[in-house]
Amino acid sequence: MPLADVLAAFRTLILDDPPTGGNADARGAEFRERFKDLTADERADLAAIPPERLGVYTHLIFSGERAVLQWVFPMSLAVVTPRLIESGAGATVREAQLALVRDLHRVRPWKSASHRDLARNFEAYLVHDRADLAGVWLGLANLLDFERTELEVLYHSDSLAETIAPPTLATMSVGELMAQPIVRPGYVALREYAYDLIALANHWRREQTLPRPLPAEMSICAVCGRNAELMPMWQAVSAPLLAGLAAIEPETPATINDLAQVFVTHAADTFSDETEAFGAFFTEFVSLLHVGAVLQPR
Amino acid sequence: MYANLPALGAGVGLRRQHLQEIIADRPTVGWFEVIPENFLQRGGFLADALERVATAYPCVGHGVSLSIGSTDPLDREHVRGVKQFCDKIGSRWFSDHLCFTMVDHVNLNDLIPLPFTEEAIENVAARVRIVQDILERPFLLENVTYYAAPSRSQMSEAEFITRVLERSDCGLLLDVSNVLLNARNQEYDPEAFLDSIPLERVGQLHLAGFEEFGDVLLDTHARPVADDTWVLYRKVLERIGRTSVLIEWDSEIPSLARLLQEAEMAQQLMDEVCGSASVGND
Ligand SMILES: [Fe+2]
Repeated sequence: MPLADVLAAFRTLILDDPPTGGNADARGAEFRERFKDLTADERADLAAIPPERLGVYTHLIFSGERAVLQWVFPMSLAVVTPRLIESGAGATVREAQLALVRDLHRVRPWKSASHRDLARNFEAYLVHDRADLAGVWLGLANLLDFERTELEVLYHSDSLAETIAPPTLATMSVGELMAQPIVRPGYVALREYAYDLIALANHWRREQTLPRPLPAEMSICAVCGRNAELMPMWQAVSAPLLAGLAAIEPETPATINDLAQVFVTHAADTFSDETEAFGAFFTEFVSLLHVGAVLQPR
Repeated sequence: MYANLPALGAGVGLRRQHLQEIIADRPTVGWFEVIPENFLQRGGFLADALERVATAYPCVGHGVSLSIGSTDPLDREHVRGVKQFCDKIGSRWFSDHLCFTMVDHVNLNDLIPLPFTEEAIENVAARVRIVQDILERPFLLENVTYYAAPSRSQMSEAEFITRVLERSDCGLLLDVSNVLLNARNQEYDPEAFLDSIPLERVGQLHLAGFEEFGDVLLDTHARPVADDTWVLYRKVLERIGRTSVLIEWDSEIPSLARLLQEAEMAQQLMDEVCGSASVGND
């Protein structure tokens, strides 16, 4: 279909390979070779467009993608941008990041209108296609996952379960408490990171810059859920509690006892007896309620 | 007004950054325009906030990814999602842009102009008919800015828009700023343009700010509405009367208060030109 060829040619000119011909005649000759499926009129129309005008679209498209990536990955971009500038990708932060986005689009084109897809592409691109940037800081792969996870938690569909108010648990006997039904909502993300990214994100929120030097290795277990305003929120947890949450199927009714049993098994070496272990469990369990990581069936 | 759509007066775009403030303070504004792509298939804060806003204010859907002029297959699943979204927020009509955004399954993430050709008209019209069938509410196409059009040798922009609207039998979301920008960038008379398109098909207006970029004016939606746009807006109101007008300011987003000031100006001008009938009548 000729219309499809015209649109594809326009796309190529604004996104991938701008015209090299300096005037309309030169561009006409160039397009005869490049766009063989177009009619002479269609080629002449395209050749009449000044390249600067095509460049306006190139600028708008990559600026728009950069804006999305800046929103989702502010810290990851801050990690890699100095290296981009050093390597001559651009003289300013803006230019360097636009060059990065342009290369991203070339290597892993964005094939939907979904922010999630663009974010996944960006993460995979930096991890797999840009060894030069991934090497800036060994925590980058973790950080990309951390930032993308917040987007996933923000966008995820809602759980059918409902919030547990901590005071309702306080009045229960131990037996009632253990039998209390719970649900791990589908939006909850369970992660182990080799770097304390929760501390890094707190620093970023406070200062709007990264700490220098970037953090050294320090393993953490973390849960990303939703706070009272239903916005993504991280909570550091112990390894036994992470194991407990992982053992519960998402969106499937379980009991507090199911969670506690896995916790106690994994924490056996840490505590002198079971009572102490259960005490530690309940202290930590309450922190899960504040990030909506555990709900109750409706 | 096209298809007896209500004249909602001046509204603003619903942006993530303002949601908490809108819910807490319930500011006075005629309506909100909501981009389904920002809320579709999302839960949590975004879904909850939208529900609260839609209960308190008239909301109208405005899409950005229909890609009505594309030759890629129409994403009917997406259109069905939009229909459900419109039902949920009580959207009286729905709009998207007369352009393409997808080609060969690659998202250009921008509103790319179509060639002004017979073939493009037929393609758009066939797709609009499917969209209207699914949406079950009036559908408006918005005139976009163009810095370069793939083809202008067959007909002018005004003729292209007119023929698309008539062939598709749909309404027009007239972006007044886009008329001004295209007139400047392509060197034509904006008033002559207004007089050569079917204004009886206008169901809604857009006003937005622009910036200079080299030798062109860019439709960046990052600035207040320019003086010249207000002048052209007045001329549009003189021709079509009371309507629904929307301030688009969606990059370098200002405070909600600043955004609402722009809407207030748009409302005052409408009241001045059209008489101060109450908002919401037909
Ligand atoms: Fe617009």
